[in-house]
Amino acid sequence: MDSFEERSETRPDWFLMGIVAGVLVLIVIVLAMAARQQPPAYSEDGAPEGVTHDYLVALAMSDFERAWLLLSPEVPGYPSTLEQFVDDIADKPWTFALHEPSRAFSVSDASIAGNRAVVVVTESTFRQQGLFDSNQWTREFTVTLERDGGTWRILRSDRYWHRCWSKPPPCERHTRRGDTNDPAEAVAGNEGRGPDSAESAGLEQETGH
Amino acid sequence: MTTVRRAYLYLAAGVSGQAVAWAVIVLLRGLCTAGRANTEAIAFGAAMAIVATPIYLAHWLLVQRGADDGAATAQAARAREIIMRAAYLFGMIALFLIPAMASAFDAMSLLLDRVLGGPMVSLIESVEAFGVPAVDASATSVDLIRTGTMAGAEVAAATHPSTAAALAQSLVILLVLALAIAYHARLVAGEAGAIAASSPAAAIRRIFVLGFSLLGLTLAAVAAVQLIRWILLQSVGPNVEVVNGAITAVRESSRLLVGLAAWLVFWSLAQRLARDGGADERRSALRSLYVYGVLFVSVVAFLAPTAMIVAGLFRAGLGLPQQGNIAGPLPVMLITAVLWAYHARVLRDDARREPFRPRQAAIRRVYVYLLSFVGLLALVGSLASLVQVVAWWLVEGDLHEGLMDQLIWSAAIALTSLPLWAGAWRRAQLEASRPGEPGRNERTSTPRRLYVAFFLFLSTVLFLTGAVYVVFRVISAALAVEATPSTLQHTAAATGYCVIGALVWLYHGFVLRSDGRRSAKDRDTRLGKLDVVVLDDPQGAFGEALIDALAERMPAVDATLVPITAKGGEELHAPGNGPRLRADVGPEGAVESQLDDATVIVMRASALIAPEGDRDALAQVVAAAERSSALKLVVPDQRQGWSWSGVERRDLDTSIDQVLHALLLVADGREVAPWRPPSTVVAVGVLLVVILMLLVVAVSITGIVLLRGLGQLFQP
Repeated sequence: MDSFEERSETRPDWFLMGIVAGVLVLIVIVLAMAARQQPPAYSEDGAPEGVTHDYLVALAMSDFERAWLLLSPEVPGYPSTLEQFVDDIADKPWTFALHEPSRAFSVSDASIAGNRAVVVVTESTFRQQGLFDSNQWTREFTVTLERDGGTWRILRSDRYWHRCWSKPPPCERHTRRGDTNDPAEAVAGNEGRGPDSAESAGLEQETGH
Repeated sequence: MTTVRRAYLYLAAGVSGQAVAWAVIVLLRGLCTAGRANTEAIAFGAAMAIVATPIYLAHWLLVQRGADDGAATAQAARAREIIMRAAYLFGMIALFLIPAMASAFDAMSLLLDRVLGGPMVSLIESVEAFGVPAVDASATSVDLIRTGTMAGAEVAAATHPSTAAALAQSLVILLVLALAIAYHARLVAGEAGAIAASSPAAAIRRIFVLGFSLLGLTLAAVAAVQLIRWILLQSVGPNVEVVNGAITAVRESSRLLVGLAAWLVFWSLAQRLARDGGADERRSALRSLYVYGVLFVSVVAFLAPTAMIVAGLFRAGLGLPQQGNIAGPLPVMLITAVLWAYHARVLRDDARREPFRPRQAAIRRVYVYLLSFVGLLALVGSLASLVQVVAWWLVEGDLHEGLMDQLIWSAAIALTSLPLWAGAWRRAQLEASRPGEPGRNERTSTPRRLYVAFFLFLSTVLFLTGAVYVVFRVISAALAVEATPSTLQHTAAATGYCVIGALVWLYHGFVLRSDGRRSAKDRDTRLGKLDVVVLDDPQGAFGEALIDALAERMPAVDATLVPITAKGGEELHAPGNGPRLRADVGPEGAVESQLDDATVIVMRASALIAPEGDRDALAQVVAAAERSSALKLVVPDQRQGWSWSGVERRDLDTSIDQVLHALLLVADGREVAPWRPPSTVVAVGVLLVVILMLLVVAVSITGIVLLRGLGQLFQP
């Protein structure tokens, strides 16, 4: 009769082979889904949920003009020109998640009271910083909208928002684009700052896993 | 001094060897791209290679020459050499392997990115087209394209290699590191026999193999969780919009492939070592730590998301809004379930490989008590939380949102941990109730004792803190201190803690007593199989005292006192339920017959020195004892003018205690060893543990009673 050792040497480890097969199937599914993935699309819906969705999609697709047009002129520090809006985004690129490699968001049903509406956005962010650092978190933030002549526009948001838009001018901006064209200096200015900077930290309500 | 010199040579060879490898990498990477920064990089690489190569060669040749001379050196020096060599070789491979894995990850990411049409490149282009510097602490995918793995941000900002160049750079790093690993792995293969023969060197190899196996497993598990979550987030949520989703697919798939490859390679090595490396490898503490550690983390990590899902089901059943979605906990639950099942199977296989049944049982036992421990700890914690919720609910009369949340969570954890604890504990109890040696081993095992002791202590602390608070409140009420709703809540919760503590304490006390009863019964059965013959001279007090002690403390033992006299012996006494003292020792040949039948013959050393007239009879008895297959237990007693070398002086009672202890060991089938009272070190250790436990209790009471209770007592 064969000993256990002899049998285990000749017998394939089906469990281990199953794990490997499962992993390969998982990768194939993921890559197939990724290959078929469509870029984010506008909802073209004038409701608060649609406006919020379109604002986030416009920022994700760098369609800044469309995003700017979705801001309410009643915003206290309203960027009066598209250039100002783009400069503000460039001022705080991490606040607008320009560097976030991958994220998913869903917009909840709006709570409407008169001409005001509040929408809760659930956002999951995936971040991979090299082989040994993988992170994912989910958080919720609220977007407040105002109806202006039958059209909903964004009045305030806990994310994707420049701090200067929340208060009347003047507001000091640290625009590196305007200060310098030197990428190295700009890099130095960016060091140690991420999307969870003090500006946005107080506003986010994390429900991370 | 030789050892210090050898250590220096290995260290210098290691540092300069790493420098040479990275110099080659910098040079080859520089050749992959063009530009001023790369020219500087090439110059730097060349400088490093020019300086480091001769230093490395000189030190490495000296190291090799010393190793070749090893056979001629002393055995101790050779043993030290193999330890240093193992540390050097496995250290060098580890230092090459970690960046090699990172480079493989980069190369894989770039390849998959190209397969998917370049989502990472698109992100960079969109960011840079906008005019924002892409090199940022958070912009690692951008860094990757620009720089590969090793260069700093300054080089990155100036070089901007294309995707193809970045891929070439990663492959160059991988190739050089693979060659360096292959060279050192070849040296390891040449030393395999010496490493296996040296315990410290084998331990270094084990740390290396199991360490990288764990690293690969962790990377693969994390990546698999992220990928399943990525799929679920797009599948289960309503109106989910995904931005740059392909980047996560690329990065996590690469991480999964690299982690899986590392795990498969090193886990296979670990399994081969366990299979072919003999008992030392199979039973190594590090392997046990690895397997049990992965199991422990898997079980805990499985329980938490399972409780989250159960809580979600409760919320759905109660019509409450959901918190998060299933994409959070489900992937963790799935992956940890696979890890748990696989490593439980590894443990079963390890147990089967053990030729000795007690060892097999010991391996399974640790696993069973691990599950019981995690399950019961979570159960007690969740019950305490439930009690608190119910107490607050009763006092407030309203189950508001916060209380409802706590209620759902506590119930979910309790429901999840209960089957885990009940299933594992039932197995442990069944094993402990088995008759004979398996049951005895289970009841007296260290994991069981630690488990029961821990929960007895935990329940004592729970009961004590709760009871002190309740009594404190009763006294406060007697002193007419006004009770607030919060006071009532705390008092009700503390009463609940008392009840939980008391129940846990009573149950584990019952377990302890049951184990004690079963052990006593089992011990009597074993002792009943002993046929003890005590040889002593008629004047000696030892024989009679031993017979009395056996009658009192081990009544199951069949003991006979045989006086050593010329004519045999005569009946001394015959107690009702005690050892039977045979009166038939008189007839000729009866003593020999008794000694033949005995399992243990106990004789006082000085009784073997007979007066001159009895020497023939004594010689016959000693010869009969010698012929008997019974174990001969000689008691080192005191005799005037005689002294024992290496044996402490013992009085009659101590000698009898030692004989009884020896008989217990014989009945257990174990080797006879002296009973030693606890040493001073052990006594101090026990004292410290007791003080620590008292401190825990004191801190708990202070926290619960003094901070909350006294604050309320003295408030205006």
